[in-house]
Amino acid sequence: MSAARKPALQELLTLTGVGRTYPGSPPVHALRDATFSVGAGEVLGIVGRSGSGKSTLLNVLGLLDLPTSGDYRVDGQRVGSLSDREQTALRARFFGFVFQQSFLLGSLSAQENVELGLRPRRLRTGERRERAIEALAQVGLSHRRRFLPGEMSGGECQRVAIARALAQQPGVLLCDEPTGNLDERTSSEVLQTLTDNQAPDVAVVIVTHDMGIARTLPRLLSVRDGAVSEGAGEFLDAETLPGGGQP
Amino acid sequence: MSGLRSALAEAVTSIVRQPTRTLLCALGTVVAVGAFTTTNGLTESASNAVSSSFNELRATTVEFQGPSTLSEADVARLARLHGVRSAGLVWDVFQQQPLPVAVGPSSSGPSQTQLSITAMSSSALPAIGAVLSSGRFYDTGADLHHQMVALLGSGAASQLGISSSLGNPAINVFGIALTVVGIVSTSQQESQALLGVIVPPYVAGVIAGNRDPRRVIARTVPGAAQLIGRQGPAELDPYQPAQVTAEVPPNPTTQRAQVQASLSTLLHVLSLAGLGIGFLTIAAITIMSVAQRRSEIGLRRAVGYRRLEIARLIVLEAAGVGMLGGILGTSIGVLATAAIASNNHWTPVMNTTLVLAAPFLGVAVGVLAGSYPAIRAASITPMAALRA
Repeated sequence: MSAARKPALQELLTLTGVGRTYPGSPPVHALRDATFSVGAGEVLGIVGRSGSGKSTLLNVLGLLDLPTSGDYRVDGQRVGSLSDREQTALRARFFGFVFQQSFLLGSLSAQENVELGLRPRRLRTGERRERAIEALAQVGLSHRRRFLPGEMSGGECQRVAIARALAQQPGVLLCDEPTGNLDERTSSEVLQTLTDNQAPDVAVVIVTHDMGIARTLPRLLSVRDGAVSEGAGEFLDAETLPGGGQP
Repeated sequence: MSGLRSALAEAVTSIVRQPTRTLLCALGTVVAVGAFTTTNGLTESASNAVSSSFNELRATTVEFQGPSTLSEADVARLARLHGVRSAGLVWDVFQQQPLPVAVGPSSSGPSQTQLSITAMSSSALPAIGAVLSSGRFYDTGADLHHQMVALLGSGAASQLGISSSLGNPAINVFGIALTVVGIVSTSQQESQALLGVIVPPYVAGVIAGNRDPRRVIARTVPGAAQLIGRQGPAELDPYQPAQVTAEVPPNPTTQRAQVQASLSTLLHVLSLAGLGIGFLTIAAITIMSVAQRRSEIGLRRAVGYRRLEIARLIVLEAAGVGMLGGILGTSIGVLATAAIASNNHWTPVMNTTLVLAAPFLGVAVGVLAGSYPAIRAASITPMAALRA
């Protein structure tokens, strides 16, 4: 797998010596000295064994968690200098999330679940509805927009979760084991949905333990004991990595 | 503003789409507001019923007790006081000890029984609220002219087998022949007189002499009973007023205030207990709900909901549940008040301001009870919530 990057890409995420240490006795260094960047339109895979720190890395990238050391910039803004409110606003504006679980609200229809992701944007009701319908069409679920999550399959629920992220029109789409709970065929469909709907300037970061999926991605980062390195490294020839089922 | 509208819409959706959770959560408020409304309604209704029970006759009747020397001339002085409508002399002949009474002028008549004798001046008859079922009352002239007449109480008439005073039947009381001029069916005061024979003062003197202690029944205008009770003894016996004691009806205003105070205390205790239960129920269920919805809250935080927006959503949901509980509780309270009041033959009376305000009390309980869970929800980090 090539780790080469297109130098002309606008850098959306830039990490310089970023670390995340959880206090305790002894303290846990979940992420150490991560230095890399993600450009607009890039599709990036992050691989690693369970507990290696890949989900911590994704959380730090998506401002769900904050680094304890180093410098992290999102679209040129230094994250450490932002207030909680500014970080929340930046996260809402810049990131879309797809998790291993779809996290759909059972009492809301597919369309309402997609609209939920747009509520913090203060859009007009009509515009919010249009964008939700459009996103559901992108993932091929127009006909299911009035269905409740309980009335849909696991793959369909995950596609609704992708639609929720796409509707936000994010700069970076962060996916944490998006196919972890799905069978092989549905996994391919979901992955196809993710890559097919990628806008040219949107970066996609996918954390996965499935090397079959990872090998299809143009750029890979591997995480081992919190250390991040370019390329699949030792995992290149593996089929799947153990224990990647939980984020 | 659009943010608040959006949050309201979300809260309404959450309340409506999860009816079981909503109803469980609202149950405490239903009980609380229901208890509040019911106790208030019952207080009002009971107070109204208490007021009604203070009927005009009881509230305007003063009874004096004095020595056997009290005469109708003394009563006439009392009757001249402002505020006295009528007054009459009453006493129990032989202290209510039953005397032999026979039908017919002879003491060995066909039907003989033992009856109590009550002496009453003619002016005492209206004062005790006596009502005739047959015949007429005796008047002052009967006493002045020493007519040997009597009235029978309906109970005594029944015992003697006399159903009507038509033809002026005769009775013999303790060996003295009397003409029955009327039968008294009801008396709001002196109801025991209905069981015996009522005679004018002169006749009572003939039967037993003038040795029994006297009573004077005075009817007053409304509100004057307390004053007449104070002034009466001096009018009845100017030289020894201490020998005359007055029994005045309880002051309706004071009595009503006392009853209302007792009921108000009950109201406050029950209402506070009910509101406390409602508060704790909403708080407990909202805390549980927040714990169950950690991943939802985490997702909302991840997609950009601010802490304040999360807190606002939880508080609005709790307020909505409180309002629903308040409306249901008020409705149940009004129905319960109507049912209980009706069962007790009271007129249901409710404070409309309080009934209209009760649902908002539910909202207040909801907001207060939802605040702590809301703060807890707002403090959840998205990462921790999404791991749950």
